Amino acid sequence: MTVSVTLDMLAATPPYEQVRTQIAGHIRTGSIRAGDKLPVVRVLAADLGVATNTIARAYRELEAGGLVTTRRRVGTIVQAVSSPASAGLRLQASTFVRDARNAGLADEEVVDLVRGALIDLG
Amino acid sequence: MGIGPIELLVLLVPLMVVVGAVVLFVVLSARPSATLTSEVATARRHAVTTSVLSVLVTVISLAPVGIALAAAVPDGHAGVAALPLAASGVALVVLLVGELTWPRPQGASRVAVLRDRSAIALLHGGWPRVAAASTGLLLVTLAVAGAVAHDGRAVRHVRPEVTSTASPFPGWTYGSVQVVALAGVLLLAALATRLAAHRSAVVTADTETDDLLRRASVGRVFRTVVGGVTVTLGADLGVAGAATHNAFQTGPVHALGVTLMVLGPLLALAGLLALAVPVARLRPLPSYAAPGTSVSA
Repeated sequence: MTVSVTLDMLAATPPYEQVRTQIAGHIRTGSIRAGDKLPVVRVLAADLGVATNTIARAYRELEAGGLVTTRRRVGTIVQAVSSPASAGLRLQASTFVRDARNAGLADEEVVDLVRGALIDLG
Repeated sequence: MGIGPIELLVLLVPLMVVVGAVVLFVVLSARPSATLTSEVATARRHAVTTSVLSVLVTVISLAPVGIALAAAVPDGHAGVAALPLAASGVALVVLLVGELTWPRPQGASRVAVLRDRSAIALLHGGWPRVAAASTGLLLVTLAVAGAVAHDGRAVRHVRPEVTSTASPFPGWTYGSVQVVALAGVLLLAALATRLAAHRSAVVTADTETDDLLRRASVGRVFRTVVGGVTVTLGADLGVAGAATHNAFQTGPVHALGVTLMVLGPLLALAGLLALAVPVARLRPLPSYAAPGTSVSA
């Protein structure tokens, strides 16, 4: 399966945050597994046409969140997630996103909906 | 009166420049293929244009580079012996610039596939292997010629009644300059390969197409290396054969000299012809290409 990151340069969310959230999402859903190697900062920055600092910051934030680890000469490796979502939860999340898109919601609105539900549930 | 190599070069350069300019015009004025996205078509055009330009610049710079080499090396002939490798170096510099100016992602929405790319993975193609083999052969040839040469530039046959010496012979006088030039060529090839691995992906290309464009770039780089190395190898063998033929009037060494005199020019010709061999072609078809079409890179 091809795992990709999409960057919207016009979005209000900073590019580094877009990269971070998408990679974090891929890790949590199991699209990227523990031990997988992420592209080096320079390569991902070139592919997205952004500064290397943007990707470096995204990787630093992912590392701070315990999702990846960066080692010299090895690169950035995905870590095992401490509380991985079960297959059932991942399926429910996929179903929810598909339904929301079918209902005409943009991806940002879907995320807002989830954030709202998180706030409501305390 | 025969035509000397300089006169031949003077006659050939304008002809090759005209041919190259026509090819470049055709490439630049060609409409993008309907089976390709505009980004892939632009990338492919950039690659082909760079390739044609590298040949054009190399041909135009042959005479100045030759003169510069002759002036730079204390023994002018030794400097000229590195001309094919220096020409490869010039072509590689153009290919390097092509990699540095590769089309960058444009627009508000950009997509990148999360996968690691390494320069090492790009070295598994045919051209890098041929380049490694020809480089190995050249180094062995230089080592053997350096070991048997007399005074670093001649071959000597000592007999009880007479001693025969013939030159030029590709001993270390010539070999050392060639080794330095070869090191420069390999360094440039390594840099170009690294750039090809790390450059931005073509936005709308699928993984397979993107891989192919990178492999094609690396193919062009190592095809250039093969050209320079093989022409040098052929010239060395031919010159060594001629000297051996002159120094050894009879016997198996004489026969070896004659063989090398024939083999050398053939190898040099093969090196030049290699430059016309196309690099990787896209097969099977990408998802966006119409059935029954193919894409050459």
